[in-house]
Amino acid sequence: MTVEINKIQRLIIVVLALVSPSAVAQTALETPRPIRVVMDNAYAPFAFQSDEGTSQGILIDQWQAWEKKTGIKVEIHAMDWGEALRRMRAGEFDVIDCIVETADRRDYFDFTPAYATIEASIYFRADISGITDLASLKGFPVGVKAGDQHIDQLKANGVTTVIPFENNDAIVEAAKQHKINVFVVDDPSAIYLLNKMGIEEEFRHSPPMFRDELRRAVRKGDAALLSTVVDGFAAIEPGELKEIDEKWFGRTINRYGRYVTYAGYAGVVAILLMAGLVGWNRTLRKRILQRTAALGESEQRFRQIAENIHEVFWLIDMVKQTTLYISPAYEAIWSRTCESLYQAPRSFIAAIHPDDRARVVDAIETDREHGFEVEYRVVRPDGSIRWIWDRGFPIRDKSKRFYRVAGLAEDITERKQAEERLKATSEQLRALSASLSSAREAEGTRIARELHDEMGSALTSLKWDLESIEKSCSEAGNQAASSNIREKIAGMTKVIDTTLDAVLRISSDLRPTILDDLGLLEAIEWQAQQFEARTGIACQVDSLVENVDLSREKATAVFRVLQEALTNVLRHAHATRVNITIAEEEAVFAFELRDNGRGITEEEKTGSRSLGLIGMRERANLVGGTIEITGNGERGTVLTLRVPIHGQDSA
Amino acid sequence: MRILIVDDHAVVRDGVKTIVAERYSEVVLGEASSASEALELARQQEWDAVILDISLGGRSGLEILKELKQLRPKLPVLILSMHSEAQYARRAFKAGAAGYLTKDSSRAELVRAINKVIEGGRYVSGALAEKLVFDIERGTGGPPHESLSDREFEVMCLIASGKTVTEISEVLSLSDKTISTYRARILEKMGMKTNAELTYYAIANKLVQ
Repeated sequence: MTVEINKIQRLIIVVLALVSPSAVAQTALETPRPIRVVMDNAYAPFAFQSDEGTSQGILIDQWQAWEKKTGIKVEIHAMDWGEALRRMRAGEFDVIDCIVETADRRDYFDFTPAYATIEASIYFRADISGITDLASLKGFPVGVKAGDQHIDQLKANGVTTVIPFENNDAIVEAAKQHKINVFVVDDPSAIYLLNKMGIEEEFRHSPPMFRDELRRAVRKGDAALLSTVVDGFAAIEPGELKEIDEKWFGRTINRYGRYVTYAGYAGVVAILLMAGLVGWNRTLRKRILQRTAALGESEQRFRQIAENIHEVFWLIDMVKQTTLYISPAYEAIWSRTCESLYQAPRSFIAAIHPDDRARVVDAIETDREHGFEVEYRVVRPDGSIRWIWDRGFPIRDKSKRFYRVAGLAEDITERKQAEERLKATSEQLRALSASLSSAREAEGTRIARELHDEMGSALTSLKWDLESIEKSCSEAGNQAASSNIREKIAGMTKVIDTTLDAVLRISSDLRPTILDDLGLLEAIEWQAQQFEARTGIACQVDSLVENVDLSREKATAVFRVLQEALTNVLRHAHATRVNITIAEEEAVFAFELRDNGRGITEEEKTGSRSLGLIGMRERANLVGGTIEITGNGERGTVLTLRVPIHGQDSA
Repeated sequence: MRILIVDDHAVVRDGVKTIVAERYSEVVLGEASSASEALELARQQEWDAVILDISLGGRSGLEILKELKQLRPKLPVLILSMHSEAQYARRAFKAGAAGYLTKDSSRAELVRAINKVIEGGRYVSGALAEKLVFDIERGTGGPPHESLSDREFEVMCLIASGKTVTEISEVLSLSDKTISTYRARILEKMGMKTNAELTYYAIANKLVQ
């Protein structure tokens, strides 16, 4: 700031120095009794020498105006201030101008009221520090203009090393030549001279130390002249005085004004720009506020979603391998802080259950650029386990380069547990079904055997006994009686035969003993013959194997499926022919039943009423087998049952 | 005359004993209610015939039949069974039975059967005989290709027309292995050894063009 001020001051000085001499009024000496006015010749802008050596300044112009008002001739004498004071006191002049009232001077002069105020400061070399006030000047040789009223004040403050100079020019010249390092000069003069000599950078100045009021003075006791002088100046129109001030200060201002104008323009432009900027700024701010609000709203919405949903949102930078975002649900599910994941992205892997880790890493590595989906367990720090369903979606930048992955992880522990429970329940149901089925078969087998053997044997024995009685009767006499008895016996024998048939049929329906006694192939063959005999539908069995080594459960399952399939053929197929093929391929027993009926429809295959099919599938399922049913339209239906020969027997 | 009766039902044994005793005056009857008893008695004593129930509690009568025949190859065994299925009879004969009689047969039939087997003959009860005869006819009577099943016949014709196993498997939607099995069975049933014989037969009988 100081530098800036200095520059402006220097500018003013330069401008003052360039003021045209033509503006200086020439003092005409026409009146017989002119008054002689003495003043400093180096006190710009009040009175100073033009480059041509003529006096000029405010005072010169004011005295000209005064001259016009009073009609009294004025002689201006400009000289060194010391000389001016001395010669004034000696009575060589009538009026001294630009003087400061001091106690001493009151002995010789009478003063007018002050017309201007001027400040003076201490000037010192830039390398001197510690000069802040008059007292701090002690011990320094201080340059002062001879006759300057400041000398008294310096002395009053204990500054004894005052060096008087002829005028301000001499002081600054001495300062330039390092003859003195400190001086006290009125600010306008000091700045003007320092600049003129190009040493303004070498000096600093204190705050203004002196504030002096400029007055005019006449010789002591010359009250008439004093009032003439005062009245004359009072008579000058304030406007005229102002004009003069403006001429000199104004010149300064005008000279400087070019810059001021430029500055003005610049200012206007700047103001316009500022206004524009302010407007723009406002609009921008408004927009930014709106956008910020929108962003804030958007961010808030996102946060509300991300932070309140139970799923974990995550965002990974693939290039830097860092976690960009993880939503707070992570803390609840993983029992680890989000911060820990930001700090150590690999801790994500460490949290995965050891048995799942390789699989998860593999799935991510393989599919991350296309998106992945993986289920795994995480182990919480307390050892508890949560099931996670995690999906990753690749993100590409503008150049289609894969650089991030966004993802969604969900805690599916409850679902998993429910699934497990459901699975367990389902398995229990199946086991129950199997055990029921097995129990029913066992029970059937037992009852069938009892019926077949016990009742069959008993009935056989009964029949033979009756035959024996019948024979005895025929051998005995009494024809009439025996004929009657023989008739009865014949009736009873018939009942026994019928009962025996019924017993065998019921037994066979419950569980064909042939299946247990002779094995599956014979049982199938028998069943086919039975079917053909009962229904008239030709049923041929074509076995590619001599015998099949299936467990009892599996053989039962195959046989029951065959029975159900034959029932279906009879009920729905409208077939005239059934072909059964039995084969063994790579340890799988394959049973194919092909009819020439109308062919099963898709609806029949999947319909809820196809309980027979469900039963067949369930039976096959129980022994690890599969059933395939194909409807071939007019070419009938093919049912294929495949049962692995080894392994998996239900309980 | 020594006859061993093997049945786990006392009523049946008693019935048979009565019938046999009525028919033969000098008969020694042995009784066994289980497989082990039967084998023990067969091992210890000489018998002229065994009347055996096929369904003994526990072990299958057919297994005992095989063991009996190993022990006494010439001993005639008459099966007396509740099972009227032909499969049982066939299996019994395969295992060396001399006769097969269902329990619903009359006393007279039982006596006839015993007589027949003791004389070294064979016996099958009436209803079963028909079924078995049908079986036998299918196996032996008529031209050999009539004993083939439809699918076997189809495969034979394809072989005879010069198709390879792979080609046939494609036509019939079956595996190569299955077709090979079919081929082996066809050759066996036809009593032939090569595809060439089969082809010749098929052409000679105008089965293929």
